[in-house]
Amino acid sequence: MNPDLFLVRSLRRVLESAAQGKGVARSVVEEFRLSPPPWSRTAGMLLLGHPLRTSMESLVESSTAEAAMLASLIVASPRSSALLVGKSGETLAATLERWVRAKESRKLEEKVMRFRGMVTCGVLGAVTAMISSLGPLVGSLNFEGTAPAVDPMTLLAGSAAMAAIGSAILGLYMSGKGFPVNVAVTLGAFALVSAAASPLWGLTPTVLW
Amino acid sequence: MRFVTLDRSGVSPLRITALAVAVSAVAALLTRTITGEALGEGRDGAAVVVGALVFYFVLTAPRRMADSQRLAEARESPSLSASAAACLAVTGSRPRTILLLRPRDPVLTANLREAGRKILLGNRADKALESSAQNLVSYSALAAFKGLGSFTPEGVAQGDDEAQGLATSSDLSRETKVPMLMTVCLFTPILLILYAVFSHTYGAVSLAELASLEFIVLDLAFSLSAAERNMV
Repeated sequence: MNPDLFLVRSLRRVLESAAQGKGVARSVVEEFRLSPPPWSRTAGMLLLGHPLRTSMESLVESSTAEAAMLASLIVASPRSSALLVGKSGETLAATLERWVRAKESRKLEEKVMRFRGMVTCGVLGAVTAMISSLGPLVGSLNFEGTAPAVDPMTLLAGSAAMAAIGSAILGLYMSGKGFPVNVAVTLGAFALVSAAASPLWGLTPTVLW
Repeated sequence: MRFVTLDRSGVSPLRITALAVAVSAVAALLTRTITGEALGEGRDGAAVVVGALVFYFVLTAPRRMADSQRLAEARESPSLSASAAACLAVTGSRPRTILLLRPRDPVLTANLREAGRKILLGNRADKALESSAQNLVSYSALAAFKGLGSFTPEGVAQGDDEAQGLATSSDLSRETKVPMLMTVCLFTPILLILYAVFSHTYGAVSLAELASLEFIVLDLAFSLSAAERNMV
């Protein structure tokens, strides 16, 4: 299970127990006693006699916004009433659980987007390589006068740079810090296609008239 | 562009318009200088397009910031309402509740502190909350503040509705902007390479100028698309 969802559900159960009159500290210990290490430490600290605020500090500060909101509500309970905090927190917990689930589905969508970004970057590398390989041939078709000399390597280098910039920006949007992978995919596709199309570099058009 | 947004964020419309004009003029001039050799006569058109995009980007910056702040406030308001409900029921006192509440959002915290300061100075709780809630951009946060002032804390459902609405709006906006950015990132290099081939622009300097123009265009497209992405 998603750790954020697990934490929100655990805190929701704490609030439900508190609403039934069990007491916040007891509910926290019962819920987090057998949880994985970062959270079981909260129960351990409570059992060692630390106050609720100190014990739940790691939960308030290190978890996601939704879990931190619930944890803050629980921490604030000694200033009001555990019973009332439990009752008013139940609706909030349900809302926050829905938000965490929405965030989870958004993360899955982002994975698909990342893949789409990779495919687009591959296509970009292949298309720009093909255009720049055909460039000297197309550029020599000059009907108005003498065609300028074309250095295929300069055009290839310029095209590779432009394709890399395009894929870097797209990768930054789709993959965030993983954008160098997008650039690598583009340059890889560019290198493969330009190597395959390298015989086209030396071609010159035949004048038919 | 709604000037109400500017008023709420404390930015003068005249000042932001002047800033947008200045920044876009600099961007246009820079583009014209950078692409001087490669684009020839077309450099003026490119400069105008870049200048217009920068103008729009700067002018709408306060709105994007307000949207981001609105989402943060809407997400915090259910928690604020729940805490306020529990605290009010126990203390039975609005001033004490206001002084005890500790929201996580810095803007809400600042507004509550301001209200608390006014209460300590002798103002009524509802008046203090009303005057300090004027800078809030989220209607659910405003409802949470008003509920706290009128002894009827509510707003969990409203905060949920507003946050869901903002998330849906952001998703829809992203669905529009992702294909747009993909198209721009895919076709800008292709079109510039085709331009270089057909206009016989093969020099290293000219190609570098075209690459710089591509970077400017793509960076602007990225900045415009990334605003909503960062909100969610």
